[in-house]
Amino acid sequence: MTDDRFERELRAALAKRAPTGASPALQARVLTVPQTVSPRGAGLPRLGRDLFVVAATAAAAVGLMALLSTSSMVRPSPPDGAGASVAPGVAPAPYVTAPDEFFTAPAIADAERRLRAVAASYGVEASLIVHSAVDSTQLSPPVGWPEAFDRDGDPDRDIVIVFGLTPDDRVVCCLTVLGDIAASARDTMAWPPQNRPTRLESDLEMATAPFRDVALDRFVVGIERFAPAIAATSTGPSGTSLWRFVVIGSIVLPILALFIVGRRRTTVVAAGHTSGASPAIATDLPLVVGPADSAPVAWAPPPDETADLALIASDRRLPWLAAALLGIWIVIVAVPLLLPSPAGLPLDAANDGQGIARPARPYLALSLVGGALVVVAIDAARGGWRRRLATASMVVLVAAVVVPNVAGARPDLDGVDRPWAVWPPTSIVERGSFSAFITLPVGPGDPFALAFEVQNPGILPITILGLDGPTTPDVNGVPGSLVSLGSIPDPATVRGDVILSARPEDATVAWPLTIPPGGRATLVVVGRGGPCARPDGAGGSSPITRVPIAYRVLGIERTADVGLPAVLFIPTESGCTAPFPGGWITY
Amino acid sequence: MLASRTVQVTMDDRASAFTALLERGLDAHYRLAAVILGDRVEAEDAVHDAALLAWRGFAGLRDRGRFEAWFGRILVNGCRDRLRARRRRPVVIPLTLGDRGHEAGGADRSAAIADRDELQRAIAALEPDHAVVVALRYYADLTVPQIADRLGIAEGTVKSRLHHALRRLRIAVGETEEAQR
Repeated sequence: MTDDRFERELRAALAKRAPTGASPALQARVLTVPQTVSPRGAGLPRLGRDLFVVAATAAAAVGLMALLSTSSMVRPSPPDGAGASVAPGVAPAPYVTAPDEFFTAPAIADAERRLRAVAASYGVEASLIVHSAVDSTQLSPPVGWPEAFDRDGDPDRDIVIVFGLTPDDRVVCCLTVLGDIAASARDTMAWPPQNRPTRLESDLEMATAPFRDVALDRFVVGIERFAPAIAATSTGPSGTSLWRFVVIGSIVLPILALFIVGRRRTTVVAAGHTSGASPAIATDLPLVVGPADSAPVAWAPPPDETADLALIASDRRLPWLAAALLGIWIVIVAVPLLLPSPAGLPLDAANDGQGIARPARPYLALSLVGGALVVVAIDAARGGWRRRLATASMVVLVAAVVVPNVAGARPDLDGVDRPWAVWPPTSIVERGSFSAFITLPVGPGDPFALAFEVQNPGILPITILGLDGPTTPDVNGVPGSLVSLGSIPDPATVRGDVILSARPEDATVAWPLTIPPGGRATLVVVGRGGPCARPDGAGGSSPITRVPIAYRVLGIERTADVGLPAVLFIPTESGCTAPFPGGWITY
Repeated sequence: MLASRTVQVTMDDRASAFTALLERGLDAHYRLAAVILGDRVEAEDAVHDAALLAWRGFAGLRDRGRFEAWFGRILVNGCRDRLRARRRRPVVIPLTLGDRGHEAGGADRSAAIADRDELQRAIAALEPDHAVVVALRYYADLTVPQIADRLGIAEGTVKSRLHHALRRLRIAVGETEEAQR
């Protein structure tokens, strides 16, 4: 066939494809464009819209983070000179308070001068109080504690340390009050550990005042080194606050972005050519035309595309299904946190097994989260590579942020100046370089108790369920074992002015107990001497250094071995033989 | 107040000019889109989308005498994008298209070409870039330089695409490569 003939055939074929002209409907659609669409586009150009979405997301995230963050960066500093005197006309409390001849007079005068200089330079008021205590099981606060020691009306930078002095000249450590800013600086290890209260006890127990002056001087030196860090912290977010800010932002920002991007997708209803002949199909399209009623779309999908569009329409349900599953999970997690803690019963040292918990397997929480992940995976698999990449990135990002935080949410004592108390009062406390050692003079069946404070260092609330029964150490069951766990819900209302007590009757069994992020709780663990325990025994047992605590975070129940602030020893009778599962054991 | 009224008057003038220019060539543009796409409904959407894009950029068009070419370029590019998007979906191509040339004798070829449905299918199976130049050349009767100007590509590229497109069409309708020579 010649080229001319082929071209004629081609022209004819092409002409056959051409319609006669634009239909009235098309003319109406096209010629009304200037009336329905801004000349600069539908609202903002695409790039402008994206920038707007990013800016709006960032603004909303910053607002949420400011609400969620408990850091001092969102709190304005008090004006200079505010509250220069808490009670005008009343002499402010001294920075160092101690019984007569506990320290030498020159040492007290020197410490007062230097601590006053620190307060004037940095606004950091550090007070050291040593006062009488009945025994080592309980520590009472001084009169006016702690408000009387806030001389400038700014408690965020203040440090108040209280030691107890028993009639037999034993030093009981310690009540520590740190302002928020001081605590933030302490968390960044800006306070030299050797100058902290828990490291002063051995010097304070020295026999003469000049030797005890060494402890006072170490405390003052530590404050002098610590104060600049507190002042620097008050002018900006601390590392901990910044990290918390970043972590919360990493969680909130992607979720907000997903939500806003999802809301931007607009449904355009396309009707068939013949009214009622084919059902209207909702397609998931970006907004490129005006409202459906102002710019009617006369369009019907080809038969082979109908199935694709139906698939797209059904895909829209998948994210909602995933969101619903996560919503149920959040409700399950949040409802117990909102409920008030049970009142609880007094802890009875005579009854074993109080506050024992057995963590359940987190079937429900894991199935809900797993179901949401499966639905999201199906949604991603049905989409193109962009949806798959975006979904995978989001899952990885959220997992990378959430999993470490769930794993890191545990009751902890690390980094905390730990007040603690032991019962019975006849316990022997020895101060070591890095820890205290407690010898418990108990006989067979005699109870003992240790009160200590745990902290939630994470950004998620944790709920203490009790002592983890299956893994609680029983020290072979012969010298002694841990049998119960109680708590002191409000240490300030235990009994009069007593702040921290290890007496079992001061504790309650009120589990579960929720600790908010950064919050603390006072626990009382009760044990009982075994058949070989002897108050004057010469034998030794395996020391108890940790307590397994069952807790729940985001609906997932876990166990954490919490290190005790002091090592517990139970003396045993040498050569004692006692029954043991599967035979006998001799100490 | 005066400034806002001036802006409004300017907007009204611009909209009127745009509508007039678009209405004058609307039929031709629509037919060209239908020829390229082979689907009248999709052609309507393509013209509408091109009108949206053109209106957004209309303020930047300095020479309104070139509106036809300018709008035509927007429309053709939109049609080409639609063809490319369409090719990402599975398309059923009759197996007989490629095989008939080897089986049929020369005497039957004219009869095969007479069946324009077969040529229609061959046009529909063209590459998007090839389909565009074929439509511009053999339907819109544009010259090679005009096509190059419309698409913003070199004349040599236009010639190459036309050559390959025609060869594919001839093969598709049953001619052997020897017969083409």
